[in-house]
Amino acid sequence: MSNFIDLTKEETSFRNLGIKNAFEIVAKAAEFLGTKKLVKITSAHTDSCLYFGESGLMFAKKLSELGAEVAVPTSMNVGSLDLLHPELIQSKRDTKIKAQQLLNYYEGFGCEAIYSCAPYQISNRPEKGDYCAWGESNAISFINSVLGAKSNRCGDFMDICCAIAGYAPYYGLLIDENRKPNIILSLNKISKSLQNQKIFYPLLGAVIGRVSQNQIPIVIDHYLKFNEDSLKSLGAAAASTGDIGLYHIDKVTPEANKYSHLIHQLPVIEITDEMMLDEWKFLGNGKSGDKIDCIALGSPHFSYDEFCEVYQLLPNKKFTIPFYICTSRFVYNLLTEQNMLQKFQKCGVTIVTDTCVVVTPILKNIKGTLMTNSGKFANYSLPNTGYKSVFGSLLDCIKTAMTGKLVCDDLSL
Amino acid sequence: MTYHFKPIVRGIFSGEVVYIQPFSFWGGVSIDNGELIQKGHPNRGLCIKNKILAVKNLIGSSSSSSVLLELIRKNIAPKAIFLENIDAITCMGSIIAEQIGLDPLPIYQGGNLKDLHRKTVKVENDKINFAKI
Repeated sequence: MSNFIDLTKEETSFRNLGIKNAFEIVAKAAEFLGTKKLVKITSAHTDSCLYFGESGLMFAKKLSELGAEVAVPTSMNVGSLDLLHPELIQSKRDTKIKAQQLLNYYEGFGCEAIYSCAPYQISNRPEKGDYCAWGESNAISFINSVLGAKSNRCGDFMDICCAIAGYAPYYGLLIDENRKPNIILSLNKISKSLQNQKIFYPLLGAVIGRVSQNQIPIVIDHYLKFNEDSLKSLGAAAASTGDIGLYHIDKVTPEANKYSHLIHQLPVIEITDEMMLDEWKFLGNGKSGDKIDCIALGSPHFSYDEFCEVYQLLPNKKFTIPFYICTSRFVYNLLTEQNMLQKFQKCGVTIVTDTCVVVTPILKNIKGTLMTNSGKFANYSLPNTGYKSVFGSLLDCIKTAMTGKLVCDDLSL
Repeated sequence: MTYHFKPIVRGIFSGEVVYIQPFSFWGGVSIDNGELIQKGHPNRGLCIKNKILAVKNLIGSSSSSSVLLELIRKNIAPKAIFLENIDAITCMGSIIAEQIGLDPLPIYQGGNLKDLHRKTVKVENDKINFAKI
């Protein structure tokens, strides 16, 4: 049986009206996007379960009443509640109730309730070549670029409608021809020592997004290595400053070698220290000794390995400012099993699960300065929380949390 | 000068066009009042409620569809959008609005959007007329 549906030809029958409704929405979106073809998908990740207001709830209710259910394995992105630590969320009671109702609808569709923006490090991990319909910009970037799966940047509602229909519009990044790079970024002018730092990855990601905008970049002349967490931070930052659903890194990401012949055919943009510094200023670079009100890590959600790294760096006393790490309940359970939670608690670290500090009110005040090693947090902190951001390495975040005064030893540009 | 635009979501509207740099609805537009709050955006502070926007492409989070939908429900969405690059995220916000009984956001696709800045436009579904102020 073909994996494709030609919308101009085939008749399709549906098990219930909810599935029919979702299919019709996917078909309409396909028409808007200029394609008449749908392709069968193997997985989805839905971001539509994050509560923004009545409208999202109205749509979920409609699908639910029509009997919709997902046709493929579908994981849920973060919601606006921490179901393990509900006391952390400062939303109004009515908002919390509605946010919970929204999660319930999506679970009712048969979605897997992992509430994480890094599902690819938990249970939903597509393979190279798989057609997918994913939401959540960092996750889309990760499965395309790092895993070699194929997903467009599905907006909210598109992800769940494709999951229910079992099909996605065949366009954009699902087509091999559209996955080749059209902009080359050389790191020739960036020192090896800077490229060897972990904090270089999200900063480079932010630059890549800024420079490439909606093109597909390939990074060459570099010292970058394949490390999942580093590439996760790079992709998340790139997707937040640009429209980046796919990037290639020569000799690192799985599809890059297919395009080595193009490297000599396209104009090359050289990334400079100045561009890196400008981006750091944009993400927030403060002065040594500046007052910092809180630390926030974990966008995308922290992996177990990232927690282990922090664990090794934790001091023997309590931090003087609030320190948040956002992660999934899956990783949180691993920490519990490994008896690691206590040390984090002793230092005063608040572990946020199922959600994160920029999508729901968790921070204590309505303004201040937040320090992070996440390019994505740095980019969205001010508009979403009222907190100005300062971007720095993990070690500097930890040192800063000891006194509440900015330490910026690691990153120098 | 004639402009060619392809109606993606048809609508009836008129007014002055505002050309702005790419932005993200999520993290870029306030869901409380429709103000552009994107960090570093040249038009930061602009209220997009009822504006006819011309923007090359939209950037950022996939949550933008939800934000756009909620802006439509609260009557603080733009009046219409001219886009050079059609994206699924904006389309879905508009499609789902119709699904829940709200007016969809009109979306028109075309190039040279910068030239539209401060021109007045009158659109009736497939009929699009521009005039300079």
